[in-house]
Amino acid sequence: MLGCKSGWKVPIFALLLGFVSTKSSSAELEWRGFLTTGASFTDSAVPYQQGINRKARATEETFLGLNLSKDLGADWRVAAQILARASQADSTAKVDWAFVTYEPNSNWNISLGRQKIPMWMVSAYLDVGRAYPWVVPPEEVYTLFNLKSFTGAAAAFALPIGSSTLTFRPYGGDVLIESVPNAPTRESKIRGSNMFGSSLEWVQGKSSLRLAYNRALWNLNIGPALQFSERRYEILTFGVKTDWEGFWMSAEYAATRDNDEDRYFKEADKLDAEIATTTDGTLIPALAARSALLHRRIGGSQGYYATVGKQIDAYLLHLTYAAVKRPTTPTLSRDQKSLALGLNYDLNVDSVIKLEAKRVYVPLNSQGLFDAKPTVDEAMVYRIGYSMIF
Amino acid sequence: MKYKYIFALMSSLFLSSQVLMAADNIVVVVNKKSTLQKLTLNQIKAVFLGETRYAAPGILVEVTDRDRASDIYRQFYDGIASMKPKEVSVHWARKVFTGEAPPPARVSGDDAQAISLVKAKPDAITYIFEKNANASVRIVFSVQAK
Repeated sequence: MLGCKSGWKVPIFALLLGFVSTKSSSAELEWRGFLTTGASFTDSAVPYQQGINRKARATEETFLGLNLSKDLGADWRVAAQILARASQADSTAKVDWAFVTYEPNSNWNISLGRQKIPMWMVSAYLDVGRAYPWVVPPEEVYTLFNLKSFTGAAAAFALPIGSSTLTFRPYGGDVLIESVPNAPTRESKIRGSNMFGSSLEWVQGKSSLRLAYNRALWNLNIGPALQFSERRYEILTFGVKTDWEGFWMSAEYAATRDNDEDRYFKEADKLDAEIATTTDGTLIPALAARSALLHRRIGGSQGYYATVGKQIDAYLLHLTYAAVKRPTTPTLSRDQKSLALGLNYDLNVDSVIKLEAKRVYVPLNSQGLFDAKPTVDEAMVYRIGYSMIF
Repeated sequence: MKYKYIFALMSSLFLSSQVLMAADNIVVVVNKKSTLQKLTLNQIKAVFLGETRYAAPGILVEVTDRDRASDIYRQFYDGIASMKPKEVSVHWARKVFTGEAPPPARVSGDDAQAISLVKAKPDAITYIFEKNANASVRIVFSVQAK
């Protein structure tokens, strides 16, 4: 099934198809694909990251992608990607992104349509396991906010500086996140509007520095019992990577900020005062539930990781230290630290097998990224992955 | 007896150096009708790694890459960007699967076929061994094979 239920998709693809048909071109349609799959398990009695438990299971990140692109004359190009996602519950195929690009010269271009958000260092190709070393990118950073694609406009301005290049990418539009993948209900979708972001990247050979910023107004009313209201939310990331003679290093920092937090805290405090003074006992449960929701912190998180690795022939041995501070409630945070050792084996230039063992440390007043407070403060998470491009 | 070993060692070193000296240069070639005359290393890297389709201001090119299993492919990317075939593959995965650049076309044959393709397409740009270049194409860049 192609996911064409959302209202915006029909006009966008009609526009793209209409545009393609009006442009004459002798260029052929090019296509490529990728497959990313794997399995994971933990020795913890409490599941990790929404369901990783003691039984090895296929990861949620099992993807099959098909990419199509076509030059439309001198300055125009159209590209689209269909992404099939398989999980234990169900599977589906959807248009991951589709946009048209106008590139009048080598210094700038502009794109319109549904596009990947260049938020994290690897977020633009998060589903393409071949393009990064981990089985899954460090969740301490990459689950801070599940930003993937947006619908709108983006531009890229490239400035050559000697043998390096500085690229500025501003973008803006609306975004929709499915909090429960493939669920059909409106409550499973989180909508962000008036989104604006930009990234600044300096690339010199195999080294790069990257700074990215994103802000949006998020409607976080995601169900009758989960009314978090609208929030003005900001994300800032900084990343660096380099590769020198087979030694590889990558590090990334991310921070989130909820600009409406103080306002809702004050509202929650008023509810608490009302609870203390009310004479109608039947109102108290509803007021207390609302107050507890408004007291939950959505922003104020910080995460980072650093990975070092060494490529030896077809093997890549890598070590990652990661940490996250996610103050969700006054009593139980989602802070954790981890150390992961990984070994990748390149089957050929297009495919790789990855093994990873990760030790997760959870502080006293935290549940880490486990589904509940774990019974012990340390646990192992094992992952195996396979990825290929074709 | 030890002179025999020294002689054998020196002979080997000499022959190795001759092999290295005999390594072929690779040249980037375009159609004779192209207005491109010379390109810099940065311009070559930009077009062959999918950063832009413009080899020079106002001049669009259509990159034709070579067989990924070939020696010339390995030597070319090692020469222009110190990249191994796996790194080139990962680089293109990042470009293609984000929609930043379309995958390059390929010619699977030898240098003669690559030259034929460049002669047939005014915008084509590819690379061949210098020893196989002829007057039917224009050399715009020379890569020293490592």
